Amino acid sequence: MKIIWQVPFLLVILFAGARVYTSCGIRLDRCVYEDNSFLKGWGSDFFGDFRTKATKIARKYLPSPHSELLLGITLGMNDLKKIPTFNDVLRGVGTIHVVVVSGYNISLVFSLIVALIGSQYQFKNLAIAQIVTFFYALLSGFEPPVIRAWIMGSIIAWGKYYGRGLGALKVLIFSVLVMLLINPGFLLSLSFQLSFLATLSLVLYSDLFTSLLRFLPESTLKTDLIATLSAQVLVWPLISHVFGTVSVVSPLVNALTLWTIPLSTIVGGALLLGSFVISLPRVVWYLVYAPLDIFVLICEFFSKSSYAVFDLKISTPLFGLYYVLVLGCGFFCRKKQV
Amino acid sequence: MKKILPVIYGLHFILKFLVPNHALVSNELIVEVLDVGQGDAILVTTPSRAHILIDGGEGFDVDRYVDNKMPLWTCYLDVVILTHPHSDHLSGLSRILDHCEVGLILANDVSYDSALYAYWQNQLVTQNILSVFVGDTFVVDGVIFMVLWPPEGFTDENVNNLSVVLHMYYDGFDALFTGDAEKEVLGSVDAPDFTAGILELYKVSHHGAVNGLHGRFLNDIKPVYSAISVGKDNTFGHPSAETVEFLEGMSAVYRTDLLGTLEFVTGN
Repeated sequence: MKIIWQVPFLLVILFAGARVYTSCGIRLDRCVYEDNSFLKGWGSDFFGDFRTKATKIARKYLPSPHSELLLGITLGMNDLKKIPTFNDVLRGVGTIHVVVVSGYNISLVFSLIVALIGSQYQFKNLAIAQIVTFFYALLSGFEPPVIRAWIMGSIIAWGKYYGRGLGALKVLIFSVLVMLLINPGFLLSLSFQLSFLATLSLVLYSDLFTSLLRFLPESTLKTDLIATLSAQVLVWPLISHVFGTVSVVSPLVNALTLWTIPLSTIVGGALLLGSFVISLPRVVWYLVYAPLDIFVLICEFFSKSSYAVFDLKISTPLFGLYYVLVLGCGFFCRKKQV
Repeated sequence: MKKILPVIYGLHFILKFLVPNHALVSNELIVEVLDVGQGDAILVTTPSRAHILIDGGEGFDVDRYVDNKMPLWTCYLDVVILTHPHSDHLSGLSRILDHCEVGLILANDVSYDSALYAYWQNQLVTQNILSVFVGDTFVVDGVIFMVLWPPEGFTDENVNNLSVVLHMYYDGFDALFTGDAEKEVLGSVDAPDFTAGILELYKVSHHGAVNGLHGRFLNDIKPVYSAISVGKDNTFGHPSAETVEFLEGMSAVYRTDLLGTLEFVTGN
């Protein structure tokens, strides 16, 4: 990395470190995390009304849990607690993470805007796309995974604009430092921890699993399986440590169902937005009902197995040791590859 | 992926539409005590696929069960009954009204202060609704429902005691649904004449709580099957050991927290 890019990087490390130290202390015991603190006073009435109307539309045309799934993947609304049996199903098969707005949503909105207004290599177009995705991030609750995805996406997009290829690992770390600069309390957010670990895991281990699974024919299933296995490397210990369970079927269920999420996001998002303008016939909602129902059916099927999930709570020392070893291997292998 | 999408949609449409269930392929009456956690939701499906839903449980789980019974292009329930407005009976019904059309709602207007009940009453403005009291009878596809409680004009500070108690009869099959009616009320309910003096199914009052246990009432009805709708590891301690022991002395007891949804089919 050239000196010109190292300076802001080092400054962010310095300021983020100072912010964390002053807010949380050296042992992080003073950290406080407030949910949705960014929404307060940021046009929360407008966003609140939009989300309320979207909820009414989704619940009119779709049954539960399909309506809650759609609202989760398009607007980041987590109402699955209202369907406790299905919430348990998703936890058991390890697919609870799909019901959030993620980096995919941010890049999808960005691509749609760019497709509408023209090339992202024009400053004005890029700025507009950035502002729209920022508002989408606000609309979807501005949760830590969305903030991280928005910051990462912004850095990559502006990097491309200035002709700089930026490594995914550096962008991820930079994004996390910026987040800690804004709110050190994110350190305590489980969704932040999981989002960071999943992304880091993807960056470090995707190539390894691509190599291991090279014998499989190229397909969406193979791509999703590689992504799932890669992400699980750093995520499963945290889930075990926090919830005391490990899902055995999670990689398989994720690989079988992940393809339904982008499809449901695009189609469901279009139907929700369209319904704000005109009343759509119920039959049209089948286009999003089908992929959501396939997701539900596969999750329910695998959750019935008595081997789907078992109780395992990793102790803190073992937890720490695992991450040291696995991260060490991950960085070492990456360095060797480069 | 794009090429196989139409195939996936087509397969889903066929499997969802043609998936066999009792309501599609049999001429039997089915009573399902749904596993909705700590709450009550009973779905009755008549031989001609009319659906009667008694209570909706806490949360939205009931909507999934109802969706599985419906064709893709509509959601219609013939009759919805609310026994009383506690959230563990009302919450799911409120969700159902957001999504499904209902032919008739049977619910009594009671004095009860909750945001959910206020929202429900707002939903009822556009619905066909009737109040029901002792002596009222209604018939759906040959299935007869008789209201055993409450009497018209009856009031009680305890909303549980305003629960609508129903006797259902079809082709020699008798069932009793008691909502959360407690023992002081059950003692005043006249046990009806069951076919051949046998009550096949008793939906146990108040999730098996000890205050829903009335010895004389149960000795009068002597059910063959007792169904307790209760959530796993609930904080209320339901069902009470005393109630379970008493019922096991006279009937086969089934619990949703142990077995999931309980299905009773006439003729089996």
